[in-house]
Amino acid sequence: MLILVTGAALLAAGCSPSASNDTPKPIASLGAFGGPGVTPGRYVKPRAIDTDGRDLWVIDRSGRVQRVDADTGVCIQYFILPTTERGFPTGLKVSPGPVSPDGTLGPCLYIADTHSHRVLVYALPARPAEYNPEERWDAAVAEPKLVMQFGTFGEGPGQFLYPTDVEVLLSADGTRVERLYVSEYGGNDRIQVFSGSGEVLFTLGSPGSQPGTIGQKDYQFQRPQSLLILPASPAVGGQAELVVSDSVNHRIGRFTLDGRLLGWIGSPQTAGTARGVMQHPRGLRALPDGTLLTVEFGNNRVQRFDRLTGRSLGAWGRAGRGPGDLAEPWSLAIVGRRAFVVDALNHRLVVMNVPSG
Amino acid sequence: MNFLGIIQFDRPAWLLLLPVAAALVVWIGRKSLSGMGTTTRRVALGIRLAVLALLIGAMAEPQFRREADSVSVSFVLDASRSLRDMQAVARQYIDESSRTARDKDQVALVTAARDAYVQALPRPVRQQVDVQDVGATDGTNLESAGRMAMAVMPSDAANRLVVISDGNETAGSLLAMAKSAQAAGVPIDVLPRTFSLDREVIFERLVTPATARDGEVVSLRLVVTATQRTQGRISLLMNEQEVDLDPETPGNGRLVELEQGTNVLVQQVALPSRGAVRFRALFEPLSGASGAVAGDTVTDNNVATAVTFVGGEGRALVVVPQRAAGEGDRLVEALRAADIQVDVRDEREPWRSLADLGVYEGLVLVNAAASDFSLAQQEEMRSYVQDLGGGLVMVGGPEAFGAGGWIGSPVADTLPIRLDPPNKRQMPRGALMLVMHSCEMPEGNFYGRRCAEAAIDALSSRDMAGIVEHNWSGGDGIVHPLSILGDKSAIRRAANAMTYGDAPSFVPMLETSYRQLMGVQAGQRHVIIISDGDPAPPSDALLQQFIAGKISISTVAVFPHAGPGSTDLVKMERIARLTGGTYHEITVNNQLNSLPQIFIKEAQTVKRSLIWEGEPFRPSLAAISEPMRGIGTPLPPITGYVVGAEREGGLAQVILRGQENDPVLAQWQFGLGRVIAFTSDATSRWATAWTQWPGYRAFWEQHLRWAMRPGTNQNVRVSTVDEGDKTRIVVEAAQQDGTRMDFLRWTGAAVGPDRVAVPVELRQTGPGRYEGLVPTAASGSYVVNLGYSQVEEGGKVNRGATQVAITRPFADEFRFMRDNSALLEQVAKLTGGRVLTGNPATDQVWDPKGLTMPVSLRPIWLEVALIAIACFLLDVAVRRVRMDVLAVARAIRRGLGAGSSAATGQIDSLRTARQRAQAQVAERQRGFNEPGRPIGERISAPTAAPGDRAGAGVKFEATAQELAQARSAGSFADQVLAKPSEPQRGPASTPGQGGQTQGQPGAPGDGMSRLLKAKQRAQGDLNKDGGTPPGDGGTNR
Repeated sequence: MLILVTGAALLAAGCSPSASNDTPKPIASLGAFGGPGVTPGRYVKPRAIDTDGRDLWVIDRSGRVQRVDADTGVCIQYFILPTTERGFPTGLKVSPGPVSPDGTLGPCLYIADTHSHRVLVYALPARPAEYNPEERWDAAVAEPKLVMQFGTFGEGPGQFLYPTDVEVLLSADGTRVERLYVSEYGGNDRIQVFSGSGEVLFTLGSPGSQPGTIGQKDYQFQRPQSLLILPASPAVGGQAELVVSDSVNHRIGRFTLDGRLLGWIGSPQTAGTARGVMQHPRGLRALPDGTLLTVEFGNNRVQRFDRLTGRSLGAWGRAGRGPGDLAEPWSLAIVGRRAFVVDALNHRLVVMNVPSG
Repeated sequence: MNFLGIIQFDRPAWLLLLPVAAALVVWIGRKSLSGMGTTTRRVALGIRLAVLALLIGAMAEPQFRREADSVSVSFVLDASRSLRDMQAVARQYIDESSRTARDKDQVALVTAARDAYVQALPRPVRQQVDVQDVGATDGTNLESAGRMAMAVMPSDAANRLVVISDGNETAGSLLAMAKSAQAAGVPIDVLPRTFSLDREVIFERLVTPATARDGEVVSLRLVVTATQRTQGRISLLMNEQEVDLDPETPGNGRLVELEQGTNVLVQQVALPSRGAVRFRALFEPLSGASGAVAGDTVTDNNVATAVTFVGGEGRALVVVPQRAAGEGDRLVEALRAADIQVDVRDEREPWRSLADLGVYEGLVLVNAAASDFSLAQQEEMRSYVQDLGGGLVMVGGPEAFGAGGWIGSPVADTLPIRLDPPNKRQMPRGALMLVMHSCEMPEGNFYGRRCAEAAIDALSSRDMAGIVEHNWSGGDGIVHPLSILGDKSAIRRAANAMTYGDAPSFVPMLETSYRQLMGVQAGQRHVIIISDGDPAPPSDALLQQFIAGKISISTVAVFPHAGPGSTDLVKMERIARLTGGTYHEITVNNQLNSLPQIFIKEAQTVKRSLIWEGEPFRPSLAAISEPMRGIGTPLPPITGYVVGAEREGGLAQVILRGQENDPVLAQWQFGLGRVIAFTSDATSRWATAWTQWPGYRAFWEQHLRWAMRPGTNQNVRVSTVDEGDKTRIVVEAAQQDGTRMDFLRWTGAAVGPDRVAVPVELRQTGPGRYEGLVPTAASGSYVVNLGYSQVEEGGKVNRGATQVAITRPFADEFRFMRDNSALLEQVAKLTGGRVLTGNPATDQVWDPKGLTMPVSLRPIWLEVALIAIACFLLDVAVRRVRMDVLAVARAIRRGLGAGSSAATGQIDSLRTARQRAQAQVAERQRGFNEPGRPIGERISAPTAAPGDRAGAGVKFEATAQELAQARSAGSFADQVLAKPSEPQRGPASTPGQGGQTQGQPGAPGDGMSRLLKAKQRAQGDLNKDGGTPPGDGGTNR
């Protein structure tokens, strides 16, 4: 009898979903790209990542912007940012459409050059037909054209303390860049909205932790780290949205494109390690079904949220150095069915399957 | 060559035995084995021959031989400064020549400068080889680089060493290394980098007397070598002040015309003051006005320096920090009144080098904190006392001793008291929390740990300290909880395990610190934050908690991302200002070294608890000492002092004691020097009554004089002779009256630029003349302190001391005027290497030609002998057991695969069946006269193949003739194994396949072969269908 009871108890414990939820596990990773180093294909504390749909673009603390083959992790080409004495960029976006701010055709790289207090926009360099798959210095060095740059140090309009990310809004017909959203931190935490040519249109938020009122613009930010525009589509409802990871307030905010608050997921008070709450969310990407994937710097994991209800749909990853572990992850990018998590302290990109269902 | 493919014999002569012995065995075998069957006999003979061959083979000592075929080239690249512009060329050469290598070849790279560094261990040649740090480049040690390259050579490849150098060495001997390479069979190819300085001037040396008297005029000799006649200007600096060498011409320099070869110029100079006089002479080439071609290629070698000690009566240096300005006035006044020459300096530049400090016989620190001095200066102080015999007097004050962060410093060892208070003393503790966020600065991990250790070291064992950081892997970030330090090992371990996470916010770290600090009983609570300032700031409410809890926060901003005045710095500054802490800013690399000092200084904040202040009391005299002679007691009262503890072991003497027997005045001998600690102060803060006390002057004069090093003997002359890596010191000692001083016992130490003391031994080489050697390989200043003692008649001990400074102005590396290709060529010739041309295509450094391919040999005689023994047993078995080898093989094969039906196996089963059939037929014949047709045959016959049908139908109609035929075909098999058994499952016996069933009678015929054919056909059919015959494992194909 006793054996039966014990067995049943063990069985129940083993099957309990809570047991697997509360104990952090490594990501069931497909592998990892890179490793510490300054040769092409390796990284020194990588921070920012995005994709042009085919390749990955990664910036690390050596000041290099590397174009990485998403299938093999091989560096296809790279270039070095002009000034990096004071620090390195934390935000990177590849524009969603084939149009650059100056009206010419061709996708662009938008770089929030955090510690140089500016935004750099480079034309995406041509992809070389052949490239050296070895880790050698003679990997192709690209010389991309600087399309535009804006921003100076300061707290005035059009100035930045530390810009963290850029998001691009194309016009409805996709023929021009309508708006650029730039987030910043460092004491003047806010989001500035620029026209395609770099003039300030308006500013959202002020430094602090107040959540503000739904439908209003009286909210505050503490280190808005990542920006994301969800275009109007059936999956996200009829209305386009701006999603912001408000990192030090441990929350994610949803806004209309004009900045009216739609709602928050998480709050400074509920920050923690449990499922459904966050610690220092940083990178932010959306899945095709409109759910959000965020990288939690503080919890060393990737968490998926239902955007509308704020419910957690799963969390992957734990702190560590082993396969599938994360150490201070900063950001992520999604290519097809795979997500690439920037695992900064492990100097690599962890590759995982995009969660579904 | 004694090879047999991969087998090599060490004693091949034994193999000659083989034909003879084989013939013998065959001859004997013919007789002794004649009773056996032919096959058995042959097998037995074969086994015997095999045994014989194996035994003789084992005696010939066979070895298993593996020969490598890859080539590993180890480059030794001279990376010294004389070749600095050649490095790129050399690396290009390595890159280009690696293209001539095969994929399996390997490359290694070792750089040679002052030290050898392995830049690349042997690795596949296609991998990029890069040169990283090469260490100090002011010297060349090709030998150590070559030896290092030899040490890392792979053993499974043919090795070649390629030396790329100019052949000039400042240390070691490449030739010696080449001899080792020759012994190891490694050829050294050389790629000489030739150069020749046609127009070069080298300032060989500046010769000055090591010691001189005050006000003496001395002759300096300037030795300059020129490769050709040239003109130039010589200038001389004395303690960095330019000396006018030629008063008749404008300017201070002196125009000289140098002849080709060595020029010696003599210059008279009057010595200005006492102490160390540092000479620096410079040569500047002039563009030739008088026809002589100006020429100087390398300018690093145009300077020479020297030091002369100008002797005098005792001199002392008093260091009074700026913040304590005035505290030393009364003391200095008293010392000067006592005719001691005193220099007063503050902490900004108390002394320039150990040589500078060594000039003084005594050093007095007045209320000086450890953080006033760099770690290097603290090391110099220790060396000054221990090795140079200087006297140190530390006078107390609120910033001195344990309260001044000296705990754990190099100076603490020299003091006659322990700075940690005794455990029995009940005193309030200090509590310090370190908030570490150093990950974003250069070498952040290194400095983070250094800072934490510096702060911990400066605290006493009774204080409490804790460390908190942003823990990226979760948790509350407490690296070490706030706790009593004890022996500090726990917190040190914790500091080593910091993870250096990048903190996004100060709030959690400060909240943790607050909780920790408020949770303990402490007199002083303090927090130090080190950060780049970009984490989110704490709220005012949180800071208010700190203020209410009387916790001060000091902030150290390191390498903020934005420039001065940025919000990051304002934020850090504000935290410090609001909570009563101090704000520090580190923005450039050369400030980094001061970081630990900042932490020591900040840690002092909680050390106020080590100060005793109270009602005036008279320190009690605990012992009589030499410097206290004649000083009347009772001593005036004091009102405060820094608490320390008496040293155990009795070497230190405590003269005055305070409350609870705390030492107030203590003295001892440390190394060559003497140290005095006075834990109260010398001003009216704690010792008001002392400043008015008539004994004040005598007290300090006698104590300082006791500690000071005995004065330099004017009649001991020291000179130095440069001998390459070493310097010879020659001492001539004489009495005042000129008589030589013989049989002196010398003790001495030389302190080099690395501040490591090396003992110096002097031996008498003539009347009053002593010599010794000092290693002086590195460039920089060396101070040699020599003391002597001589027991005179009547037991009186005569003591004295002298000093000499040796300077190595520039490295030997810059003395070379041309390459030393001859050495390289000699090395190549010695080792069988080549002199390379520098053209990678023709040099072919990876060419295996001329290289000995390494062969790895493994003796296998034991294995061979064991096989021979096994064969021998087999031989015995064959003869005695009369075993049929073929049958054994069959049995083995049957055993190996279940159902594996080899053709012979089938024959056996068929034969068994046939015998059974014969028996049945015989029975039938007995029973019925006319044989009946069994039903089975009638059914199966039409299905058989036409060619075999007739035969198959009569298959087992065995006749005697058939049996005989079968027997002769089956040889021994029948005799040994043909026993009745279960019919074998197999294609041939499967009903319906060949139509044969057991016991079929039939016409006589060649049954066996027909059956086999039928079976093969059946198998073929089955295989065509893609199946494996049932019961057939498919192993017999």
